[in-house]
Amino acid sequence: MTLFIFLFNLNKLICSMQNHRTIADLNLDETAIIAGDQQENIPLKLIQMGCTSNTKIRLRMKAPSSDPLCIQFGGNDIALRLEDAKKIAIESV
Amino acid sequence: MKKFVLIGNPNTGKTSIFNSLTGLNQSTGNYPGITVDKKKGAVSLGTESLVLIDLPGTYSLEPHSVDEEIVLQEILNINEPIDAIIYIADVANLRRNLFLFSQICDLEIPCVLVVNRIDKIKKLGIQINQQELSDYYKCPVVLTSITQNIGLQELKNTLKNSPTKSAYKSLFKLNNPDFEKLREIESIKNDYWVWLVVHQKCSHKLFTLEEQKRIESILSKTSYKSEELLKEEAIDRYTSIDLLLNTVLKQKDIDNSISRKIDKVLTHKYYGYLIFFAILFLIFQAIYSWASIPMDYIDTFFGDLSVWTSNYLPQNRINALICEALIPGIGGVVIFVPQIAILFGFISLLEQSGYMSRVVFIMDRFMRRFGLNGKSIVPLISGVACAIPAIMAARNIDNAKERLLTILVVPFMTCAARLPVYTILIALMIPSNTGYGFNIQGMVLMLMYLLGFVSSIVASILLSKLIKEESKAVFIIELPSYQIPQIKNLVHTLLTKTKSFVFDAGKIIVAVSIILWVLASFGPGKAFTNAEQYVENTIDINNMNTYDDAVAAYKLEHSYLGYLGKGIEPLISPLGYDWKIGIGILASFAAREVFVGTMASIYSVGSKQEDGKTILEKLRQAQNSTTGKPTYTFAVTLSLLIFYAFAMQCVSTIAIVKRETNSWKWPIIQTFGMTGIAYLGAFLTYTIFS
Repeated sequence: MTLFIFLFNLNKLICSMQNHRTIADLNLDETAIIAGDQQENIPLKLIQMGCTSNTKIRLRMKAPSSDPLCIQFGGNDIALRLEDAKKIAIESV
Repeated sequence: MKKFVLIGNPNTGKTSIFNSLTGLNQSTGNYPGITVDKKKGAVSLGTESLVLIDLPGTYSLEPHSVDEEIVLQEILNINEPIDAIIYIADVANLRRNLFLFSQICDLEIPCVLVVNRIDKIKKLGIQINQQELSDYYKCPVVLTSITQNIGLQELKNTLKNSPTKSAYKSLFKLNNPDFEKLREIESIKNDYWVWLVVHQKCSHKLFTLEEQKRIESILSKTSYKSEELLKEEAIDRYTSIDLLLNTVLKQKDIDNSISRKIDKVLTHKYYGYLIFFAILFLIFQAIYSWASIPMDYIDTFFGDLSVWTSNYLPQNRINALICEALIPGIGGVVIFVPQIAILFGFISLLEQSGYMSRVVFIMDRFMRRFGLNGKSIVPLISGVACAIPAIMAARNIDNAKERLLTILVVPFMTCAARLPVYTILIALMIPSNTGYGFNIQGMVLMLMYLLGFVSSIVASILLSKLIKEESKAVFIIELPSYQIPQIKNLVHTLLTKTKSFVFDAGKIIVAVSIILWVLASFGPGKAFTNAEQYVENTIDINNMNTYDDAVAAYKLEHSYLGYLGKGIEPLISPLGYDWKIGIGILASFAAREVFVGTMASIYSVGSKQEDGKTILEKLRQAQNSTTGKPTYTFAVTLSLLIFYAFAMQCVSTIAIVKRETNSWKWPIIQTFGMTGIAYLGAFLTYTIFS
């Protein structure tokens, strides 16, 4: 029974994760904002460059195989790897 | 003299401002213990002058890579405190640039805020309130543009009248009683300094041993999560910057349409790579065809100089030392200058224009497969000039493991020092230059470069499996908007890089040539001093030409150098080499390029100077003293090529690797590993082809 509940919850968790779009899911030239409460998922260096929760970003370029990605926020064009982009949730505007 | 430092984000035009302020009054040194360039220059301000130090570009005072640590260490340097900071900000990205500036202000060190690239504001639709900015940070604000020559004189005037105390009072609060205990330590000036000490372990070594102990005992009693606290600090700072910018800056949405259009081509999934390889091809073409013209002149010049000096000066030992050791030695260094200059010139242009970051962007995934990083491409390309600056260029790779791998495999790349060795060996191996419509010598040379690149990749794959080192660093790079490279910066780079090459490598090469000459000109026992007698007994005296050569050869064989070479002959004879080549290889462990010079000295010691033969002619005539057959057969030459491709023969590189990795472990593994591969490879080559 406990196992069942655990599996059920796990499934729910996976589903909810799939519902969240991340930077990696953005289309070229699509604009979005970084979801609130993302502080722990955004690398420190990116935050120090000014990319925090609620920052408006835009996917500018994809290297071949979509890795790395180049996002724009403010006057910055910043490249980051796909694995890191997948961790940062976004909301559409 | 007052000491000022230049700080700013990368790609803000900091170097241009440094060059404009200091002119040619620059010198590069090293920071003690590490090999990051310390660029210093003198700025003359009418009656007085000050020392200006250019620091590596960084986005925050929290270092993510080795070169960013320098900034923190220079700023917090308590023993030699800085008098003022000149902060360079790019007007097109003021928000991000003010982040680091707000950290700088909290240090309460007098500063000047320079807002650069002001010529762009019209095009970008920016309006900036200089007065308001100056009032907020309580420091002078100067608007400049180096390309349009705006604001430089104003900046100099501001520097002249710069205050000795900061008017800005830091509002930074620690909000942590444990951290506040650090205020007891006298050399920590305010709460923000405490913050830096708390979060940056690399700053601790700036304090006295006693203070270090106190810092560590205080910090060990408290637990905190640095990363979270630093993120909170960053978010707070941006909140206040955004408030300030509401009143200071009016700006439309930034649209880098030109950069975007260029990027569409340069980072395209096919054209992007095509263009990159075309550029590489152009660079190599330039190194070979353009550089060969001045190199020929340099070669002939030093050959003639040697002959002329030999005839002009009285015949004695000093004459011989100058003509047989010093002049060829110096010539051996100078001959590299065209190639080094062309390569560094191209790299400087690619970096200035912003293209290098695009190469990093499109190559990252490819390089990651080998355990490297997109940023490794810059060290690998620079490695074609010289491993020393290339290894130093790896310091901006934040990921520790990827950085280590880059450092370890860069020496496999074919550096400029191998080039003269390759050139001469290939000329020996393939006498005729053309065939099948190709330049065959050029093709072989290209294969050697390919071999260097492939072996560095293979080495990296193997090493990445063997080395266990975890790094949490995240790959984040800025793709700056494209800039037209400035000739002034190009000239500066060329001058400083070439100068440091000529003097650093030059010292070793000249020293080695003198030592070799001494060892070759003196010998133990009677065999050396009475060489004429020994030879007279064996050779027809009437043939003076053979006689002189025979005496010279006999003397060399019985000199200290000859005995040294013979000593290692058993070790190298499986590779097909005789003792003369052995001497060349021994000398090459100081630096590879010494080989050609050494061969030149060995074959010219004692022989008549007037003939003015080139090194190639001398080598072609060389005969194996035991068999009487030509020394440089196809198998021997190929074996030598392979040996030089792999062997770690460069004292300076070993020293740099030691300093950059901070241990003897890696340089030792690297030296023995590479030289082992070289020995094995050369042995196999010789066995197969002979």
